[in-house]
Amino acid sequence: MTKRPLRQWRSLADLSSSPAHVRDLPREFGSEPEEIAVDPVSRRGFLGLVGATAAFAGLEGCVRKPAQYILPYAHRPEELIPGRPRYFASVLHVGGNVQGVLVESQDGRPTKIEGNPNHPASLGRTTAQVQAAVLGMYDGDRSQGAVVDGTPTAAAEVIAGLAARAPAAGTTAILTTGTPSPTLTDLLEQLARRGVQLYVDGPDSAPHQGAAYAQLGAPGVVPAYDVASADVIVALDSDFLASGPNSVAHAAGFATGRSVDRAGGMNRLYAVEPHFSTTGASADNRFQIPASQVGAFAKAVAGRLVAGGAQLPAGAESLRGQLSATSSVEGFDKWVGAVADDLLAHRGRALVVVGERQPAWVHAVGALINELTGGVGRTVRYVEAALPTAGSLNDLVTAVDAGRVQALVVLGGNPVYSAPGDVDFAATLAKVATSVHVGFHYDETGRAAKIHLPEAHALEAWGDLRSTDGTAAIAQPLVEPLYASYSAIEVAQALLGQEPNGLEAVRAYWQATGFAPDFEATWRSWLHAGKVDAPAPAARATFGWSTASTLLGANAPAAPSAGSYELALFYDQKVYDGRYANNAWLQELPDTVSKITWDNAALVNPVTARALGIEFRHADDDENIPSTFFGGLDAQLVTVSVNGKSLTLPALVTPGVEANTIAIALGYGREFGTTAARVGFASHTLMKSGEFFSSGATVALASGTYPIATTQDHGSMEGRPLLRQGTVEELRENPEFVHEMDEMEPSRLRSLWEEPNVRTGQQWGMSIDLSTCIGCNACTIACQAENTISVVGKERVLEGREMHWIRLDRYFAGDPQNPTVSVQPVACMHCENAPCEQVCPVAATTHGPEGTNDMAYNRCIGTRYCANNCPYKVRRYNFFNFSNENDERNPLYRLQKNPDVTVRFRGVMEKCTYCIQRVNQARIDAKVTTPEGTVADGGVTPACGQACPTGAIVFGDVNDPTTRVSRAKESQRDYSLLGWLNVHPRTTYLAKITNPNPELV
Amino acid sequence: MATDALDNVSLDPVDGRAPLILGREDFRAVTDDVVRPIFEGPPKVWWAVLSFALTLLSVMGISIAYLFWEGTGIWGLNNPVGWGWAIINFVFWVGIGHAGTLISAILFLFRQKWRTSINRAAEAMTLFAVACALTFPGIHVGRVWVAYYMAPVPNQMAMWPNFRSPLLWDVFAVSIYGTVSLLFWYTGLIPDLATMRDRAKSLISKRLYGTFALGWRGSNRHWLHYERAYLLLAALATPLVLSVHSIVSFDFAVAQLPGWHTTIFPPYFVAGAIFSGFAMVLTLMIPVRKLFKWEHIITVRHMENMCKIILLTGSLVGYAYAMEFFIAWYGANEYERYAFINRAFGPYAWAYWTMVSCNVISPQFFWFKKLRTNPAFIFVITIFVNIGMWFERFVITVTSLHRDFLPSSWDYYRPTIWDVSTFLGSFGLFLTLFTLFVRFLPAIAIAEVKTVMPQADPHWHPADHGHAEGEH
Repeated sequence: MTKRPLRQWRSLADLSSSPAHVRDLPREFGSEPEEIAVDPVSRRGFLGLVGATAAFAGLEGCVRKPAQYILPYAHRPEELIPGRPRYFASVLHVGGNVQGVLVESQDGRPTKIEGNPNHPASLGRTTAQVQAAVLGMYDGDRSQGAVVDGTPTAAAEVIAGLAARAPAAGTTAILTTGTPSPTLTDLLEQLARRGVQLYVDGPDSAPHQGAAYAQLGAPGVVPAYDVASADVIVALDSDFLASGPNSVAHAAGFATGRSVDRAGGMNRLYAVEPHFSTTGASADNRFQIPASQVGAFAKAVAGRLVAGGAQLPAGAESLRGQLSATSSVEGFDKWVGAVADDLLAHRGRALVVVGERQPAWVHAVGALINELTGGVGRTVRYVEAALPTAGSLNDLVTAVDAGRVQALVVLGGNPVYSAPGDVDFAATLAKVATSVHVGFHYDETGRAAKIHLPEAHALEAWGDLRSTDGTAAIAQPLVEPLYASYSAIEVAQALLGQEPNGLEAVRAYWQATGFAPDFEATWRSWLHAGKVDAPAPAARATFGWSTASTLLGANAPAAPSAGSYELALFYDQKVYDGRYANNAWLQELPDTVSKITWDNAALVNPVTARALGIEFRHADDDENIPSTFFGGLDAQLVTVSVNGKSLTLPALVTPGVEANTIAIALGYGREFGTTAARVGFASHTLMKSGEFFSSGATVALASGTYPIATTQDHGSMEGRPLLRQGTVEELRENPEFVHEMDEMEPSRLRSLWEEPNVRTGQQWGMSIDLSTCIGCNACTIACQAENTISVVGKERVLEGREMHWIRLDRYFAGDPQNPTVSVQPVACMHCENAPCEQVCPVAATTHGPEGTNDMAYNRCIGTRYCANNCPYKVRRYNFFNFSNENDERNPLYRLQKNPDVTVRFRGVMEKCTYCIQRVNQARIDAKVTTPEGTVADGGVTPACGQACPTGAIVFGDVNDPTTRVSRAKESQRDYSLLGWLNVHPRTTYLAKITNPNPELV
Repeated sequence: MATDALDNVSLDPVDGRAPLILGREDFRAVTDDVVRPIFEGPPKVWWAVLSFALTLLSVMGISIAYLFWEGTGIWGLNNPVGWGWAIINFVFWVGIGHAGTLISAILFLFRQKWRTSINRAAEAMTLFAVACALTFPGIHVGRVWVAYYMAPVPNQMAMWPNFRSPLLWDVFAVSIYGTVSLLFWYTGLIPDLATMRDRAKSLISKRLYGTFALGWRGSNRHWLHYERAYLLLAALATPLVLSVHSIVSFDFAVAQLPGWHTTIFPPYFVAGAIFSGFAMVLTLMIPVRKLFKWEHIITVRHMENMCKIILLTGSLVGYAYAMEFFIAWYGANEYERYAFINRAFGPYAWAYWTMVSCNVISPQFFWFKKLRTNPAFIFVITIFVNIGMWFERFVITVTSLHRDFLPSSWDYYRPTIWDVSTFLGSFGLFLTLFTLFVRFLPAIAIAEVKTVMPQADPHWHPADHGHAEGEH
């Protein structure tokens, strides 16, 4: 007989075994898994699962899975939480624009650049080029080592011997790009004092503006504009909203003034320009005149202001007789009168901005107009720039030819490529005994120079920069240089015979300024805040107008007549002067107006094109739709000849180009770089030194065509109320005009069934203000950087396979010769009643509990049905393994990828997620920090909204009526794109309101 | 075999009905005529056709292999046009299949005796067309290795497919259609397989035919059960004729795209499917009857009947085209209106007018008896109809997608060499299967043909002069 086990008991209740106790027994340690879990698995169900799992385990073996290695930290770095990014304040000089930034670092890799809210030139926002700068650091073609006479040499060795090769003496010259760095300027001035000749070249140095101010007796100053306080703004051939110094602050100020309810009324922007700039596209009134006539216009306006009683500044009385001009351009006098009257009516609240493309005398006239309207001190002030006095590129060429230069250090820049057509800089370099190129790439200049030294990326080196409003900030490195390389500051140190140490140089400079009594603490606070808390340099308030007579004595040339064209060159909004040409994100970015990618072209007006015999499809309608079965989007090749040079390139027929102007972007036609080479045409070869526009150009048809990849071929809305706009007058007269454009009354939009999407908890939505969107493209690149969106290349853009999650739809209106243009950012609308979700056979796109339309990439099988059924066509499909192709093209690229975002394989559909990774992070943080777990308004912003310089994109909880997005949606301007489809888009638009001058309509 | 004049399209002056089978055929002669090519070996042309078909089939294999290797990007698809030739071909092939089921099921229920000469081949065509059709949805997805997500199988993700999606309905509709068609075809084959077994000489063919004949001995019991089963299957297959293409049309009609979102689609697609299917039956049967000397079994009268159906369905399709335009105008939806104006006058106008010419105008020749009884002429017209019906799917799919709601997204679609090769390759699959079918299986339902011969009439007497006239 076996022994019975002794009965053991836990408690008296256990001993009694009452039914209630037995029921509660498993609850001793809280709820049981069953309570949360699924239905019990039946025997049959279990067998089914086992069978299916076994079957599909075999199938799963077919899936390609990359081998990955994970290495843990042996010692955790201080303050680093794995999986959480860290942000470092720094400052970047990109596209002539100094911007304070916060750089996101994921496990030590810089992955994303955001604006620094503390920095007045950023306000937390950025330009597209700044967004793309992070990819620039991971450029696969960046220089990986020094080269001496064609032999790879250790960079440390080269920099150590630099002072010996280029002695700081009379025959050494340095060519810089005009970086406004106080420390670098200080070092260069030290070198200059030792006899080194300084020269500067490139758009960053703003030579025309600088020359004007120098002649007015104020060398080295730059204007700082307060756009927000201006009621009337006149952009004279200037793209101040979207490119050049301080453009983000300008755009933000412009947006402030765009408010319909603004005290003093909505601001008004006039643009006077020969072809569309981004600023011109946002203008209320745009006067399309040849670039050469802008000066005449400015002069005539100044004359009208004086005649209208404006007070000439001290010393300028003698100029009174010079202030008149005429032009044969149609409507000139009417425009001069209207603009001058408007400026006079807004004295003290008016602003004139002259573009760098205009010659010095036009800048002087612009400065005079700002004096006449009382803008100086209110809408414009003048700030000491952090630039050394230096000669121009032509001065350098003269000096070399005269044998005054034995050693030349090209400190950044790529003059062999970018020098104008009349300067053969490669020949100049060859004449110099010792030529040194310090550059990020071993590029055209690097190869021409005897010595090439790699330059560190701005995210890898210490430095400092001063923006045009006078704010200085310290640039701190995020990583050690990926390859042994040095910053310009360190090269300058080396030339001075010092040990190259950027940190020490910057610290020494700022310590010497004496702004910081307790330097260590102050220094740390400057680094943390991302700006130097020091008094801005003294502002100049006056110019010496008595010396302006010769400057203003210059006169505008006659307007171009039929048969002879004016060539207008401009720095590209993407690749600038060519220095960002190897950045694939920027190359693939569609231009705001022409929508061109991966190329530049001769932009011509439809009427001009017809006169020239350029074949194109009619501009009113189907300008690029091929008429043949298998026709391509080919553009006619033309040969443009001017200044004794000629260039054959495609002609892109674009509305909004002045009739006698041929406009071509600079910065293309590079011979270097896997991305940059053979993209576009080297238009700078047509340029004459110091002249961005040249008269007397001729255009001849060349044989053949050339495919141009644009992302939008069709410019008309076909009468559909997609991008709704009206004037401020129309809005006042009929506040409901936006809703009267609805195709279906909201009351008639009913559903057949009860809507399953109940709004509970936090519900995300977006509002995009078309009034303030200027089409600067920052959102597109910000989204690309945040969401690891692949670049597809020109061929695939031609095939219509670009991947951008947020695009800018561009529509023309009015006369094709001189139209208005509007842009509308379009990304996934996150429809509450989403058409894509209904049709996906595998439920890969479904609705999130917070109202987002989510994509389960891993579930997607790629039927593309969702994209077909999306009325907004915002879904993007991986036709090939784009992500892998990107990695193969540039092995460094994978370092940039955001670890919070899934990399999409081929055959998978992708689209805007409202940056769900940010939403999730914010929700987790909110759950930790607040009892309700509610994300505060503004606690989460998608990448597009964060980058937007004008704050046009507002994101938040639409279920809470107090949030910014809810209040925006309350506006009478709020409307849904294609609302009649009853899809209930979560992203809605605020109609575009303009404030044109009624006299000029 | 019969040497009489092959004219049976005129009414018989005596009994008002022309004979279906010509010549002085008896039951044995019919069997001899049908099985002769199988046992005597095919004519040389057959080998030529088979090699051609296999060549095309290998083109398909290469195209699909490259597609799997590189991805759907090798096709001409782009952002607004997410569906191109693959879906067009799918709808095209599914449509072709419909004639077979209509002939074998609906005409059976309606006691249309003339169906017996063509139903076997037409059903086989259905099966092969469905095989071609099913290829395309399988290969057109981006990640073929997880295409099984569409199947409602239990899995570790505890996920069902999305039953709201018309693509899923397609999966069910077409696979049910394929299954029922196969069963129906096989059931009909059983008595003939037994005939083959009995006539086979070699052991292997005896065994093979015998296995598939399922022990058929032709007993009264067998016939009783067989005919009841056949009738039931015909009744089962009948609704499928209407449902399959209705559901295929839902792929488009349920979407909200202007040009797709139309309630007329189900009947319009069914009419189009029958239209194209009959055209394909004729395209196949005209050479086959000539090649295998079956002109007395598949007579001009059979072809004339099919031409009449083509004329009817072609006119229905034409009516649908007109009605689409009318509704686009009457519905006052500017987006839909634009979609249709763009079809007829936009960049794809060439495709639209090709479609209209082939589908609406070309069948109108069949109003003339002389033309619809001329096999060569019929053959030419059926080719046009096949082309037209392919273009109909092209017009629906591509012209609606390439210009939809937002003009900013508009683009042009161009096929690549791989689109073309995959489509041509699918003809390889189809032709290979069909060529093998006529070689190894009786392409005419021997047992069924006999039932419509005069000899099958209980009152028939051999002394009579050939066809049934007896006392009714």
